Amino acid sequence: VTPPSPLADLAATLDRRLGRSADRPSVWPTSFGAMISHVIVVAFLVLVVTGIFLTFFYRPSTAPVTYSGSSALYDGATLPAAFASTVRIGSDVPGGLFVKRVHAAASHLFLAALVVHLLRVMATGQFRRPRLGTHLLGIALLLLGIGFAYTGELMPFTLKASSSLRIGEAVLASIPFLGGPLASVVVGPELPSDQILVGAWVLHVVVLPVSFVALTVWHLRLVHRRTPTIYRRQDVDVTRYAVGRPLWPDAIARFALLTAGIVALLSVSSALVPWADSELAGPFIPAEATNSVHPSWPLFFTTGAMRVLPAIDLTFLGARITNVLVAGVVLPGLLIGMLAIYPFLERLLLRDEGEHHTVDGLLDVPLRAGAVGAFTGAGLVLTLSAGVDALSFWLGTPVETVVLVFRLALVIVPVLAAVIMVKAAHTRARARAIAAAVGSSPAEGVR
Amino acid sequence: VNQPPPPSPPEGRLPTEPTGPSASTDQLRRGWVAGWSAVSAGTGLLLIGLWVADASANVLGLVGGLAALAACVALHHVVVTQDRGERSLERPVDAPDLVPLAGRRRLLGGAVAGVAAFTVAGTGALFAYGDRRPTASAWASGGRLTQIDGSFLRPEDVPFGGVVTVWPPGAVGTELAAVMLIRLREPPLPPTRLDGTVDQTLVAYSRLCTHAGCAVALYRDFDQALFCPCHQATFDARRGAEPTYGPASVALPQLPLALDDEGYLVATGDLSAPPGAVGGTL
Repeated sequence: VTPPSPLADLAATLDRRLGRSADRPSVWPTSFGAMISHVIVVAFLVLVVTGIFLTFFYRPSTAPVTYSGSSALYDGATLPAAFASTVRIGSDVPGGLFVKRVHAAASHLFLAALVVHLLRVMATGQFRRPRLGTHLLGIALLLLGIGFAYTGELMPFTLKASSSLRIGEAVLASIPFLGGPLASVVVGPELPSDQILVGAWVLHVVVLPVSFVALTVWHLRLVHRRTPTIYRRQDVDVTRYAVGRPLWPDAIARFALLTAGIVALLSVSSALVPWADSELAGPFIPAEATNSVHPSWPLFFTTGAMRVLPAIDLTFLGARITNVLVAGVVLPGLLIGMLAIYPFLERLLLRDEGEHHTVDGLLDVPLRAGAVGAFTGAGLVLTLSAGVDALSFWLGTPVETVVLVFRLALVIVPVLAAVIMVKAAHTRARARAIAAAVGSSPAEGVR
Repeated sequence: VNQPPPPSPPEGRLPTEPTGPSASTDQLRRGWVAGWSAVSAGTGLLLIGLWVADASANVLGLVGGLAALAACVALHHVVVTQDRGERSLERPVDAPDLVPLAGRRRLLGGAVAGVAAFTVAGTGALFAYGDRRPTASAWASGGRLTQIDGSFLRPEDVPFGGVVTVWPPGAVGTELAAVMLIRLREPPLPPTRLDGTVDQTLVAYSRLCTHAGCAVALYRDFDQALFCPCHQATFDARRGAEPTYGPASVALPQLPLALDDEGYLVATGDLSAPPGAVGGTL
């Protein structure tokens, strides 16, 4: 029996805030699948704590300053102030390198958990009525996460980061009619400009965190107002009842355990992996470039598309449509738009307007299995395309050959994945029908 | 499945619970929780001490990891001993599907009108602001080709296959005016503007890729090609820097060259086209 404690009071208050009353407390799913979404929250908390520490020492300015400190590589060198401040964090601030590495490691975990959570929601059909609004909010949260990654990568003002900034400027400017003014507002007249660095800093430190917290609270509130989804099980009518653990003490104890585990993982990894040692990347120098220019990995698919799509130059009603527009605006818009549109599409095609509260299996609905296969296939090929230069170096093959292979894969892999997934789903359905016909136990036939 | 669904439990605890251990092991586990919490707290204090003593990041990472691991063990025993078990909750009937706004027409209308007004105002403000990015570079007739250290160049300073990045005298180190001066191994062919070359083999092209604006930083001597490390756009330096492979569709702008009275390389005008990525509006 749990003794009364201030934590219990806090949990009760949180329960009320989530829209549940004392006689109808919230239930929290504690399966491993549901834990993925908790990883996002835990990683975000780590990012906030480490980020506040880093904010004290970061300077969002491109003005040249002379660095003097214990970094042997840059002692006495004239550097952009932003880069100099990150060198100072890494070399001179006590514990700065540790915090910086944990921040970077947590950001990878944060983004990975966001992507995996969204893929799981798509594959298991948790976007269906009555949770469409929750799903759309989730997509907005993913976009905010990508915003965190892009702005966070710009802030140290390394050569690599500023190259990806240049590409970002070209992507903005490639939008017909609005692009030029948009690029002028966002990037400023010419690089290096303080405008973009201050903008990225304000976004990364104030606007994005506040938006992320607000939307997450709304997302969680909707999850609990509509009750969480659960796996299909024999002892509960899942269409009428949600099953889970009470917030206090079960769920809170599990979250605390997860938090401690993730902090241990990030902390130890910071000793083993040199995350975010931006000193080695070198400062921004105008008119310089470096090999293997990438944005942060959630955006690999855009740079991958720019590399494998051919040169495009079409003129249409005064707009000039280029490879950058297609690969940097149209294609990401389509891919992320698909995540939002697919729930409507599934409703329409399956003529299914009913409520669903289960976490489906990947192969339960052939249409969805095929769509997830095609989407994941296309995303994976485009993401890997970002490494054509590295692959060509490792394999000793001309980059033209590698690009050709990826162009073919971009067409073949999504189609193949969709066909295999649909076939597998139909096979699974047939097996179930046979099992039901011969009267084997439902526990074997239905998962 | 043809069987009727199993009966559902009333709200509250499910019959399969609780799963917790017996009272005796419970007592033992309480000891474990206290012990490992103490280990975690002690390691945490050690971490603070090492932090103040300015220990290296690797030491801090390992000690911090140990503190969190000890907390993990303690919390694991909390999870095992403090379970209240699963409970079920009746699902709401007719919950709104999209967002809570869907049921409230006035609020929904207000939100839509607000977003529309914001979009119209934002677009208008953008058009009013206009494209303020410079289209011309700082190159002008008579400007000497200047290296990053401020020194000027004579033709004999660039060997065959050599590449030098140069700027106009007043804008050394800027992005838009960066130009690559190349000494080709063979004389260039049209569409290179041959009247803008010196010594028959010295040509100069903008350093900014016409694809996405990266610096075309690599020169491949064996086929005299300029290669962009960002997206593998390739340009033929011998034929007017026309794109030969990759995502770029337009040639790199050429800088017309000549020699001044003192034998230094100078530009005879601006680049043949605005430097940087093409696209967007015509």
